[in-house]
Amino acid sequence: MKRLYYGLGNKKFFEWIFFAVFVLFFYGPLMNMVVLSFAGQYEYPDVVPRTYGLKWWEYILSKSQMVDTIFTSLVLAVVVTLVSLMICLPAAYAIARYKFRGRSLVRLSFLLTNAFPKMGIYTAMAVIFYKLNLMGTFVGVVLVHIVNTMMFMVWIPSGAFRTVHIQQEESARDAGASPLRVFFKITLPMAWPGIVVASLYTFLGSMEEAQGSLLIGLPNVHTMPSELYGIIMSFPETAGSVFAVILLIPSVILLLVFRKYLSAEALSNGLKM
Amino acid sequence: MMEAKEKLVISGLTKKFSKNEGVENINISVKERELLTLLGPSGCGKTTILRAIGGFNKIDSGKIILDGKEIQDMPPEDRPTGMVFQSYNLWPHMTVYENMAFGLQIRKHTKSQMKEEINEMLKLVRMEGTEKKYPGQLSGGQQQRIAIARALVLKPSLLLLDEPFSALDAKIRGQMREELKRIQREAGLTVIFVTHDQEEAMAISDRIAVMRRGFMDQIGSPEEIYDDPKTRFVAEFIGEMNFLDEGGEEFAVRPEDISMEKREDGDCRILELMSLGHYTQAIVEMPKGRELKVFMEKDIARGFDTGDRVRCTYNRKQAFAA
Repeated sequence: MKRLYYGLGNKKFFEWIFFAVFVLFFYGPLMNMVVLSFAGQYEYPDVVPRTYGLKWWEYILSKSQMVDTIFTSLVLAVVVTLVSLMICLPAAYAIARYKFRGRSLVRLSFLLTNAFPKMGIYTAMAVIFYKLNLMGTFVGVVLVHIVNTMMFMVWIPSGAFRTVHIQQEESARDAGASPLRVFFKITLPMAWPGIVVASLYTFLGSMEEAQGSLLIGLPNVHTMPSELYGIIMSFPETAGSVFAVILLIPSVILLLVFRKYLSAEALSNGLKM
Repeated sequence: MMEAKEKLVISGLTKKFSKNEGVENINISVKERELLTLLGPSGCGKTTILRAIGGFNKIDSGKIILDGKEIQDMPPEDRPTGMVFQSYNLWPHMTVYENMAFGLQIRKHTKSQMKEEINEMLKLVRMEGTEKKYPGQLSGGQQQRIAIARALVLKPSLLLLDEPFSALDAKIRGQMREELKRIQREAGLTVIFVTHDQEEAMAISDRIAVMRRGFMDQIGSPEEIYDDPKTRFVAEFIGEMNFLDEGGEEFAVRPEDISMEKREDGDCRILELMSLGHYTQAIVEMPKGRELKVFMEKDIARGFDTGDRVRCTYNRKQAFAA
């Protein structure tokens, strides 16, 4: 320790300690979960399993009900992302480009769904959904998820649209392009990074959303996170670990593939008022 | 000279943003192959007129006739005009070639045709070999050249330039002026140029329209505007000018139209001599405490010192309706 302290110097040393604690705090539980998922024989007070194996993976993947939830979650996340793109991109463009009465009110209204306790909103939605026969349906779950993701899906692309200069759109009109063509050939490609980031948040948000899915979706729609509640209650924790790791895989893949788009800049552009 | 054909006629153009902002009852005509400059301070409405011609401002009333056709109700994509803005013209996600091909693709030109036309235009603006580059890899001046080339490749009937060089360094701006003049001559273009820089306007224009607060004060050749300003505003805005009031008569004198004579009993005194390179500027104090600006050649300036008593004579006075 002394060696490390003098080797790194005072300031660096504490930074190093801080970083080490940080890593332990964030990746410790994650690593533990991954290790447990590959356990063969494991009993509670142990930190690491006694033997390793794919026993629990086989167990989970052999249960068709659980495999189904994986597909439900993936399909749900894709549908939620596409639908909220269709709803939110025009709104984002309007907020970025046009000055209309109550523009900041519209902008802020997207924050409201994230400003209230979620369970309250879900309960209120459930009351309405009962009347509309949306309880326990796929559509109902899609709507719940969109309520959550709308803020990101409007704010971040809106910031991205604002970085496209009006002259760039006008030049395209001047060159003979119709407004629709300008949007798809000039504006959209230029705002692409922001839209990718927002879609990513939406996709991941939908993948991990549990409360709303549980309340609105059950007993017909089972997503991975809502199923996880049941697994934790009624199976050994090694089974839960396997399921959690499966839930983690799409997130990790997406983050790796799109990491060049994930900058603080893209986020802060969206949050500028 | 043969009477050139009228290319563009604007009559009674009015566009109001609010009570005080906008242009009212503008009438201009531009001849074939002419470079007309709209000159004025910011907020005078010059850009409003240009954008109205390009189709980016919907006008309240009036007519815009280009090549004998009324275009005021067409959307920008249907107008045979080409516009270049002050900055942010190019699309950063496309290469130079793709930028230039954008409009040609809409017009359904064949690939080989496109290639030939783009090459030719790049040669005209002296940017050969940049086809594969992205706008971010080019300097500001190069980007504006490409923007001009991109407008020209579509063979516009009229080129509209909205302060295209004002974001560039002074030196490059000068070069670009000369380039533009050459391109205009070689391609036989009709151009409307908007600027707030009177020096730039004097240098490149066939005719200048000086604008103030939504009105045109004077339209004429650079010489007419300089030598015979019709209003005090024009006289003040273009070049340097001394405004004098002697015996109830108001008039103006250009600094280069004053000659000085060294005399012991002279009623003026030299306050300051400043060499501005190819000529020298003198600030002279007149009897009533007013200051006069005088330009003279370097050789003549050697005969004077600060503090000398002199007598000034005006070789050329200009009067105008207040």
